[in-house]
Amino acid sequence: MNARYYTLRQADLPALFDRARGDYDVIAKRRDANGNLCYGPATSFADVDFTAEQPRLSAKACAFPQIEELTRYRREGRTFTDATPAAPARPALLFGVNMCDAAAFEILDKVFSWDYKDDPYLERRARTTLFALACDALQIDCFCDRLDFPTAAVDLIAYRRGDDYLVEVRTEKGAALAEKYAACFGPAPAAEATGPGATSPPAAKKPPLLEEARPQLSRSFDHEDWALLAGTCVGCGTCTYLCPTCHCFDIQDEGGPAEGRRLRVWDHCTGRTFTQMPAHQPRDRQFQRYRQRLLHKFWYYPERFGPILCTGCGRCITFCPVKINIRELVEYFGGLKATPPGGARRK
Amino acid sequence: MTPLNAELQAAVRRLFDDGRIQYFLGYVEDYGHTFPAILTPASDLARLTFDRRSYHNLARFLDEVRGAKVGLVCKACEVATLNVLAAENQLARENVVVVGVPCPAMVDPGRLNADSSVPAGDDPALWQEKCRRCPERNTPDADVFVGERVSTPPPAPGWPLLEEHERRSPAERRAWLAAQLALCIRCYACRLVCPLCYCRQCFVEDNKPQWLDKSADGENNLHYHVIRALHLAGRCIECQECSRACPVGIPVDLFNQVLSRDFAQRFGFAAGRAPDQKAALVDYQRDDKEDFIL
Repeated sequence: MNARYYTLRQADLPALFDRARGDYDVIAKRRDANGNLCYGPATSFADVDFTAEQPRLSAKACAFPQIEELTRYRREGRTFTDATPAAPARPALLFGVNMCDAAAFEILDKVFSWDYKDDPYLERRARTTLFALACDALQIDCFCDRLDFPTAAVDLIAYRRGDDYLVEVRTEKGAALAEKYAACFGPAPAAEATGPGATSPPAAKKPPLLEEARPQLSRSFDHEDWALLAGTCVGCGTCTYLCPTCHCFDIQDEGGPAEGRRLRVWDHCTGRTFTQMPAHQPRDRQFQRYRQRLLHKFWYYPERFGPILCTGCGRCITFCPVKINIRELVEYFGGLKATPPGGARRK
Repeated sequence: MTPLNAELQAAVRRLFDDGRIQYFLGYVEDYGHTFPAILTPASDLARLTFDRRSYHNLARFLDEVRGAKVGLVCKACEVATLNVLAAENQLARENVVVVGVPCPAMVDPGRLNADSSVPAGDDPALWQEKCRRCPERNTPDADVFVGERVSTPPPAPGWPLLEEHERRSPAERRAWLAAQLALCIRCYACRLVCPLCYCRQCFVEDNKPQWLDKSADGENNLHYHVIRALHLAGRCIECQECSRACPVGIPVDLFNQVLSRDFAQRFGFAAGRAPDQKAALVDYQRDDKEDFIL
């Protein structure tokens, strides 16, 4: 559909939130027990941080939760009962999600609806409306100015205009929301009625984009500097669990004879057990596991699906305990930059 | 470049040129951050630095260069770690060159400026908690010492974070613990940055039998954190890397502080004081308090 534009006044935000609460499970940015920003269910606008600041975890859990119960059984005597929880019925609204987190869903959609249609993911995804809040500035670690993420699946985008917002309605889902709460949306100023001005993100691109690293990356597998530059990777799951696009999972059975469940849980390719076989570990050094994560994002995934598996949010740099910088490594191993990060090289 | 960094870079260049080391574990500054790096004679040493963001415990990375001659920048934290590793027969000390430095106290990463730079001033409120309790800022037992020795301010007594926590009511503490465990995503950063969690296979990785469910919920998370802390009982040198690494901000090292305080109060024991120090749990003194025996 063609995008339509509205003005959303700051003063109307609480009313929009309250009305949406009547129809949607609203997920928004709020503070967690330690005062850190997170995405979570919000019941009052007073708890909502409608800012462009980045939460610690991405929003992917809305469609791909860390623990997802696929089936549950109960047994009494010789009788088994299927106690699998019903899928949530109400639609969900991601209210004020960052663009880099919202864009990630389109990337995830491709892998969860490829040869196998992943019902649990696709059901959650279908019920979710993405109302993004565009951010104004790059932070120290994020780099969405260096890549092209897809935005066709983002339903609405709010751009800050002084104290108020210009809202771009981009999909049928977005239009449904704007119509339902028409009282909160005013006409866009004439100058912007056909599209936002120059401040619309993503900002002006600075070449070269990280997508351009792929030809050289695909020849970098045996580069001698991987062992040094990824050698400080400790093998934790921070980068993958915080990442909006990482989607590896494991299927686990938990419980006992009386009651049990089959779960899908997040897993991480950077972990030591990820490719552990009974007799063999094909990636037995940690740098090989880090290399897998990077090459999956910038070579294997785009080769199969088109876009890179990254939206430049930078969490994997900010929260990496040893500050390994994926952007720098893509540039170095992808031939966009001659010097290795930190100056470490083998010869 | 600071005089300390110039001296550090020159010292490391000499170690490489004299053939005393094949690798150097140090901190480098790039893309706005200071972070650990594994350097070789071919590396660009101009980025080698030691600043107030050099909080990572470099002893963690020795395993990556196991068997080689290696030098590393050591704060007192790393020296204590090396002592525990040596006492547990995990370190060939003759392969290691300890480069000592005067430590300026590390800045709490949560207090860095938005651009990751170090805030001005030297207010102890900006320091990592361990640094306020540090007994010695000049690296002890260094093979090479660079820079000017500094005086160490008197350390804060006791375990202030723990004591503050314990002033809350039991109900408040239970609620706090439940909230923290609900935040944990079991990325295992706390376990994997720890230089003393060196098991080739951790119990959390076993799947036959599987000791711990993979689902990151409150009960499993408690199970994990308690066992992690107990495996470090009498071994933890309180570098607080576990807390620093936690992406969701759980003060993981409080679990370890409980145990460290027990060892200090009951046995006058602190881990990592000497390379031949016996581990607290395999040693005894005739005058040990035995007031826990009924």
